[in-house]
Amino acid sequence: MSLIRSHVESGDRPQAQDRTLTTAPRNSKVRVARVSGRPRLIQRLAALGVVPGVLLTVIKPEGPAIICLGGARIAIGQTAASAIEVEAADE
Amino acid sequence: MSGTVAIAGCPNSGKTSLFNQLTGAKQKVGNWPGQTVDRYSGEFRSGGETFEIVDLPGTYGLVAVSAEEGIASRYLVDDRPDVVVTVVDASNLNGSLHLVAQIAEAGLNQVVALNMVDVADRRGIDIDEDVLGRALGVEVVRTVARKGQGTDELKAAVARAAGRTPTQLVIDYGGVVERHVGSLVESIAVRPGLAALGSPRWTALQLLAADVATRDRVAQLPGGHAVLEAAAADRDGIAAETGFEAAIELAEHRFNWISHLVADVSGPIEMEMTWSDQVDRVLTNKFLGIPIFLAVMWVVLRFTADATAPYLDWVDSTISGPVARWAVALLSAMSLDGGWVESMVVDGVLAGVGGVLVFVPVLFGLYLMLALLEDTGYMARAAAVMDRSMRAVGIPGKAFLPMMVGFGCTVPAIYATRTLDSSRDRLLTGLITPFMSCGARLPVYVLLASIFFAGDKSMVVFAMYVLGIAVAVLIGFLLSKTALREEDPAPFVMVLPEFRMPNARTVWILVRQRTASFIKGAGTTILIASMAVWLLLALPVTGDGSFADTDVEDSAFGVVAKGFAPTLAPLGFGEWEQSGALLSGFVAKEVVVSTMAQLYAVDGAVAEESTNGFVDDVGDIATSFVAAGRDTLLAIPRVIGFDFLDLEDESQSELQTAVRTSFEDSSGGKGQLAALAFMVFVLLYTPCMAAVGAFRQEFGTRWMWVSVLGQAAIAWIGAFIVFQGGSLLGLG
Repeated sequence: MSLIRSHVESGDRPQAQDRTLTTAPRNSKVRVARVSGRPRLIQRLAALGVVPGVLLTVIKPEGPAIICLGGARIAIGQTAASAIEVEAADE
Repeated sequence: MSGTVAIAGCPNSGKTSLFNQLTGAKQKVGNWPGQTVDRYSGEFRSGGETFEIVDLPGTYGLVAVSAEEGIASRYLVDDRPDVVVTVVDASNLNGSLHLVAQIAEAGLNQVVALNMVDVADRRGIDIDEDVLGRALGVEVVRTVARKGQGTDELKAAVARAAGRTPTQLVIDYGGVVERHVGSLVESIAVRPGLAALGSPRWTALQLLAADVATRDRVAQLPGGHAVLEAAAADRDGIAAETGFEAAIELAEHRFNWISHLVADVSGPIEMEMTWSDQVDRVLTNKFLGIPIFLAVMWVVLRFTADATAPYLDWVDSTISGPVARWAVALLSAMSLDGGWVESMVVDGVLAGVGGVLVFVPVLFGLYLMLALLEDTGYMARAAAVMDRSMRAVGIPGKAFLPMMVGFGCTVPAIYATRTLDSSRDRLLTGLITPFMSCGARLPVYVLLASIFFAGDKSMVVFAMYVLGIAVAVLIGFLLSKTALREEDPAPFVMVLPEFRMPNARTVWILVRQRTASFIKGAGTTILIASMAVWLLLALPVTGDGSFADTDVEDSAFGVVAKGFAPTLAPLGFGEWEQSGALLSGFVAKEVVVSTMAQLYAVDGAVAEESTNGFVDDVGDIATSFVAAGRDTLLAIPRVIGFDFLDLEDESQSELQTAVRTSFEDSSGGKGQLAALAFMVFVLLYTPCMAAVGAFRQEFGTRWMWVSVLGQAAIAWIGAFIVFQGGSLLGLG
C-alpha cells in the first residue's frame, strides 16, 4: 500500500519493460507497468484494479494466470495476461 | 409501495444471498428490457413502509464491458431508485469499493452492506465501518448474508436513507483529467436537453471512460452528438498528455483513492498464500485442469441421469397408469368415454402433461448439481480452465458445461446456457448444444446398429457421439466467424470466489426457481405440440376410419409422413414408415423405436388393463415413489461407474427383420449405408419438442426457427453425404 502511495505521490510512472505477467515468476511481487489492448480488455482490467502502479502477487503466471490483488484472487486468461506488462517490485 | 431499492454488487459478493434474505421466498422473475437476463424483484417492509427491491446483475463497475453489465448502470441512471444497497465483500475491500465509489460519484442514495465480515474477521481484516461511511458519505451495515446476520439492521438503514438527500462523492483525478472533465461538464451543462442525465460531472466521467451505455443514452438526447464529439476530443487530449488511455487514467486515480481509503479503514492487508491458492494451482493446472474438470462433469452427468431415472419412471408410470385410468373413469362417469374425447384426453393432454413433467426430475437433479458447483466456487475455476482451448475454436469456455449436459438431455442443456456471461455466448452455445447426442437418441442407434453392424455395434454408437461433438464444434466455429462474429471478444478476467460450503437456502431457491421456470415456460410449447401430433393421428384423411379411430397410414399423420418421404429418398430412407418414425421423433426421440414398431405393426401388445380401485392406485403411487427414492440412493454409488455404453439386447427379432427389410428396400440393397445415414439424421435433427420449447423460452421465436430449420438442413446434408458418398465409394 505504501509503495503505491509513494509512487503516485512522487509523480513518476514505472517505465514499460518487455516483460508481461505470463513470464513473471511464481510467488513474486510485481508492479503493473502498463496495460495495453482492446478497449474491453482495458476497461475490464481497470474495473478490477489492474492499473499501472498497482502491486500484485503472482500465484500462477499462466494457463490461466492467477494474481492476488488486495486480498482478492483474480484469474486472467492468456490473452489478457500477455497484455499486462509488469516489473519486479523491490521490497 | 413507498420506495424502490436496487441491490448492486460484484459477482460473488453474496448479493443474491442478501437479496434472498431481504425478500424471503416471495420473488418475481421477469426479464430486463431487451435482454434475456433474469430480473428478480421482491418486497420487504421496514419502518412501516413497503419497499420494492430489484436485484441488479452482478458487475465490477459502472463502465459496461458487456451488454448485461450495461443493465446495472442504465437502470441506476435512468430509473434512479430511491436507495441503492451496494453489497461489498469485506474480505476484498479493494476490489469491491470501486463499484461503491462509482455509485457515490453518480450521486445516488446509497447504503453499503459490508458483507462476509466473518470471512474478513477470520483473515484478520479489521474494518472500521464508521471511517468508511464518513469517507463515502453513506451508512455502512455489517452483514453475513448467508447466515441472515445484519438483515434487520440493513432494512432499518434503507428506511432511514429513503428520505435523505444524497451527497455526491467527488474524487480528484489530477490536473490533466480534471481540466478535461471541467470543459466537458460545461458543454453538458449548457445543453438543457441533457438535464435528464442527472449529474453532469458523472456523465462527463462516464463519457471519458468510454462507457457504451452512457454514450448510447447521450446520443438519443438533443445536443447529444456535439457532447459526444467533445468527449472524444477530451479522451484524445488525456491520452496525448498523459500517455495513458482516459479509462486507465480514471481507474488509476480511483483505485489510488480507494487504496488510501482501505489503508485508513482496515490497515495494510497482507497478501498471504493460503491453502486455497495451492488448490487453485492444481485445479487450473495446465495438464491436470482439464482431466479434473472432466471427472467432475462425469459425476454431474451420471448423477443427473442415474439418480433421477427412478423418479422419471415413477412420473411416467403414474401418469400413464393410475392418472390415465382415473381420467377415463371420470369421463365414463360423464358418459364421454370410448370416443374421441377420451382419446384426446389420454393421448393428447395427458401425454403432453407427462411430456412436461417427465423432465422435472432430470432438471431438478441437474439444477441441484449446477447450484452446488456454482455455490462452492468450482464453476469459476472450470471456466478459467476451459476458456483457452474453447476460445481457440470460437466457442466460449463456459459452453463446455451445457455441451456436456447435452449428452444427458438437451432440455436442461439449453437452460444450462444461462451460466454463460453474454447473450451472444448463450445463443451460440444454445445453437450447437442440440448436436450433442442425448440419451434418448441412444435406443435408435442401438436398434439399427444391432441389425446392420452386429460386430461393431459399440464402435458405431461411439462414432455417433464423436460425430455429434465434431458437428457442434464445426458449427460453433462457423457461427463465430459469420453471424455471431465478435470484433472485440470479452477477455477472460474474473475474480475467483472463495471456496466454501454450499448454502442450502441459496441452492434450494435457485433449484426451485429454475425448475418452476421450465414448467411455466416450456410447458406450453410441449403441450401444444403434443396436441398437434394427436390431432394429426386422429384426423382420417383416406380410408374409411372416423375421427380418433383411424389407421395411422390413413391419418393426417400418415399423409404428412408420405408427403415428405420423397425428400428423404436421396438419403436412402424414403419409405413412409421411416419418415413417420422421424416425424414422431420430433416429439421425442424416445418414441422413434416404438413408432417404428407401431408402423411396421409388429407390436401387438395391448396396454394392460388394471382392475385396481382408487385406493389401491394411491397406495401404488406412494409405494412406487418410495421405491424410486430407494433406487436413487442405490444409483449414487454407480455414478462413479463406467457403464455408459451398456447396450441392452432386448428380443426384438420381429421388429429387426421388418426394419432390415424396409431399409434394404428403401436404399436399393444398401441397407447398411441407409441405416448409418438414418442414425446420422437422428443425431443431427431437432432433438424433441421439449428442446424446441426450451430454446424458444431462452432465445425467442425467431432464433427457434433458425435452430429448427438449420438442424433439419444439417441433418439432411449429413445423411446425404453418408449415403451418397458411401455409395460412390462402393460401400454398403
